[in-house]
Formats: sequence, structure tokens, C-alpha cells
Amino acid sequence: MSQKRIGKELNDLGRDPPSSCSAGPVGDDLYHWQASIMGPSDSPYAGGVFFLSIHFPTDYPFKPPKIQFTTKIYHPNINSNGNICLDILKDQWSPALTISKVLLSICSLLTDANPDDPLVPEIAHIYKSNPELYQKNAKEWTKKYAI
Amino acid sequence: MKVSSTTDTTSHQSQQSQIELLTTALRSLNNGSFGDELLQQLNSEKDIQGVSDEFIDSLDRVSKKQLKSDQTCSICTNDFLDDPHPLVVKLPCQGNHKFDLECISPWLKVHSTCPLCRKDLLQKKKFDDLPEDEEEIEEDWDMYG
Repeated sequence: MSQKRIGKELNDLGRDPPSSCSAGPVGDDLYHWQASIMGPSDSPYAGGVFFLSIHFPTDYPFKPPKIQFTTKIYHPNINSNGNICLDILKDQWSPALTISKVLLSICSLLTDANPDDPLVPEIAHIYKSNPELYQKNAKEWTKKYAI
Repeated sequence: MKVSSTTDTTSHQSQQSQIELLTTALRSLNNGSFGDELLQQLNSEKDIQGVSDEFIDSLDRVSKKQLKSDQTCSICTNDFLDDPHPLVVKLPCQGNHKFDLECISPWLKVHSTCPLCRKDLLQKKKFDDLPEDEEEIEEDWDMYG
């Protein structure tokens, strides 16, 4: 099941690619992909290209894929190991979700962070108390690591 | 026979108290995300509850002539009619969402929600049957009994 479904997602991504993301297998292993996300234009990540690694479990789509940023990013819900705090990657996963939909959700997370459920409390604090400083730091990191 | 069953109970109890101890330790650790993640995992494993085999068996079937050519199973993402003998069921959610029986079964065995609208398929039944307190007791019994 998992192999067929992952293959189908790959085909669909090729046929109808989302505008701001791309994804595909790293090598021969269909269960290990790399993805890229363009920083949304209405966010401090604009202009940056962010890479992510995707690992599919063998019981995909009944378990969520493991997705991590491999490009450093300054964000309240993404930590220094690239782990993402996003409900649909954890307890809100559904087998009706696809990589394409998940990548779009990650794009929205870049535009609208969720500082009330932070993975990096320091950044969440700055996001809430000093939005200008958050914007400045996020832009600096984007310039340094993602351009 | 008696001895072994006593041992089982004891080991079961000690396992439980170990889990409780671990949970308390993790809480007091307050070690940022690591402790939280472990806690979350412990909790989520405790919470996982699917529907019964009888529930799955009693789902309404959708006959081949009721299926349209553009309808797909959102779990395997294939058109229902790709299969010459489709075995499709509809869930008792508001949208009556349809899935291949083969695809929805493994999901419902560990989650009682519709993959498309997240409606808890067991919720309504539970509230009808039992007042809230009893329901909790019932759940505890299921879990350990």
C-alpha cells in the first residue's frame, strides 16, 4: 500500500506541482524525499529557499511522514534541529492528507506562526513582544542561510 | 495456574506504577521539548482507541452502480471504479465519506475518526448510552481489564 501511494503522490506532484513547493525522492529510495519551499512573499522568509527532508514510514499513509527543515530558519515553531511543531504531523494526521497538502500547511505556518504552542519559546516571546525584532531576525537568518 | 496469574497481576500493576512514576518524573524534569515529547507520546498511546470489528463489519456498503467515475478513495487515492469489483463503504459522518473497505479498516482499528472530516464516529453513541462519569469508568475498565 505505502509504496503504491507514495508513487502516486510523486506522479501527481509531477503532473500538478504546487506553485511554491517541490518534492521528490533523494535517490533510489522511494521512502526518503527532499522537498523545497519558497519563502512566502508576505513573510520575512521571502526570497529564501528552504530545504526539508521527508521520511515515509512503511505504514504510510496510516502514520504521518517525518518532515524536518534542513535549512536553518528563525521561527517559533521550528527548532534548531529543523523539527516542526505542526499538529497534522502528529496527533491530527489523517491518511487523507498528502505531501502536497502538508507542504502547503508548512507554507502557511511560515506566514502565520503559532506562538502559543511554541517549539522555541525565546523566538515565540520575541514574536509576541517585539514583532519588529522578530521580522528583523527572521530576515537576517533567511539572508544568511536560505539565499 | 494460580501462581502465574498472581504474578501477571503483580507485574501488570508494577508496570502501571512504573509508567506513573515515569510520567511524574518527566513532568518534574521540565526539560523543555524532550520531556514534553515523551509525555505526549505516552499520552497519545494511551488515548489511541479504534472502533470494534463489529463496527467495521456493520458499515454501509456502497454498490458499484452508486459510484461515479471521478470518485476516489482518499486513502489509496485510486478511483473506486479502477477496481472491477469495488468494495466501498460509507462512514456515518455528515458527509457520508466513502472509502475502500480495505483502506479504511486499518485506520478505524486505531482511530475512531473519519479521515476527511475528523468526526468521531463513536462519540454520539457514547453520549447516548452513558452519563459522562460512567463513561469514564467504562473506558478505564476497557483499558486495564
